[in-house]
Amino acid sequence: VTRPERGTASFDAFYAATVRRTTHTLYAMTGDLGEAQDAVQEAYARAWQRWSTVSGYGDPEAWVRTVARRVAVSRWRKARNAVSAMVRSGPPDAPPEPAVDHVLVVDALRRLPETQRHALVLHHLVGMTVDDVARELGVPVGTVKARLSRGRSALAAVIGPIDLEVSR
Amino acid sequence: VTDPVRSLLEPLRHDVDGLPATPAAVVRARGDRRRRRQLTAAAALTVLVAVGIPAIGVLDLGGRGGTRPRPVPPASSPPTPSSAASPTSTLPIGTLPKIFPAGVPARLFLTGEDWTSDLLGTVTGDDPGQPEGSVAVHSCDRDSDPAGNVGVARYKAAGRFVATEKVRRLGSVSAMDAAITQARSDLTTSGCTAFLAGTAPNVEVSVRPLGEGTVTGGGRFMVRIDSRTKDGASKLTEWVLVGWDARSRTVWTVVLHAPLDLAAGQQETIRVENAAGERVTGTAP
Repeated sequence: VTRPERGTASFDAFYAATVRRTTHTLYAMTGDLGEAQDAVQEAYARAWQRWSTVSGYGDPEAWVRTVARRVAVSRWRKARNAVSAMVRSGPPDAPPEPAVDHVLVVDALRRLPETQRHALVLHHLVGMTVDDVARELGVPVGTVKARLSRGRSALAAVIGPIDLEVSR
Repeated sequence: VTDPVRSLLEPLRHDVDGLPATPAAVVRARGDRRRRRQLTAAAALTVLVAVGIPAIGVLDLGGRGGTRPRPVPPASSPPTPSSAASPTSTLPIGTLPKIFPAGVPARLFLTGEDWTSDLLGTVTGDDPGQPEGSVAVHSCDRDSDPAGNVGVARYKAAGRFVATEKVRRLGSVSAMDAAITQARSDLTTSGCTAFLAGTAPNVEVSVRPLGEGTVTGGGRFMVRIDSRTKDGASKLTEWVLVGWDARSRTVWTVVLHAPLDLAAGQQETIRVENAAGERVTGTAP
């Protein structure tokens, strides 16, 4: 965990040390690199707005990641619900294009429900324990386990068997 | 023991590593603009609550981490749009953020097809509603206030944002002229340097004029912005085209962010110049 000090230099150092990791996490959560990039930038901008507070948190990177996840979810829901936006802009954008060898993974991720995708990424990619994932998502531990199990099953249906027990 | 799910997700990092790095200064500037907008909007909200004027559209002032104010309850007699937009009003109605600015319909914006080319590939457009936060569209843009009839559309190619367009309709020709004057001032090396000194002091910027011209009832000018952090770690190039039309009192700003060389960037921006103007003036086919 990067523990920044206060001030411009500390924010810049924190940003440089964590932005690619955060973008990677959001990319895996959203399956959309452009959306991930924008949500992450918005989250860091909000972190800078209240840097004197955020920099004092035990894990500022987790704060940014959580804000970015909420921004991405919010935008996706707005897009899904905004009938007027559909009328104005026509059909939704075509999906962004990941590197050729990542197409299968990104496609599989996009097929998962958002809740399962977030649990999988936080647990398997970020490396959080099931308890920590439950705290970050604000749901019971059992719910996280169920989401991980269903998420792995759904992934396996697309990309092949995944044999992995839920770790602590 | 290898975690197979992690093994699947980890290689996505290569896509992220292929992205150009956004300088921290640009992110901080975005945060600063956001803070200023919230202060302005909060002040406007205070006035509106005091006099019982209804909010227009949806307010989003607090962000995820903060408190989200409730919509202001409607007055007993809602004002008509014309009264809300009245230039003689003493109330700052125009400072309220609106999700879908009524005066800036989608037909005024470039489409993804307008941008699509051999160089940029297939480009798709976002909904031209107002984004959260700022409506600034390039590094030197002081016009960040989402007040009034302004909308921003973004364009993606291969998952990246490659271009942005802002369309702002002004209440009078004099207001339009002031906006153009401001844009001209912003889009000079000295003007942009002065702006960034307050928001991103570790960024050096150079603005290069690329051309200017007039059309019936309006005009255009184009510049290239090169900015980099003083330690040389991050660089950014933006091609900016500003156009205006006096009849509709509209100013539009087209920005290309794609990492192209000078000739290609200029060519791609000029390519959409006429299309952008025709959409605003209503002469598009």
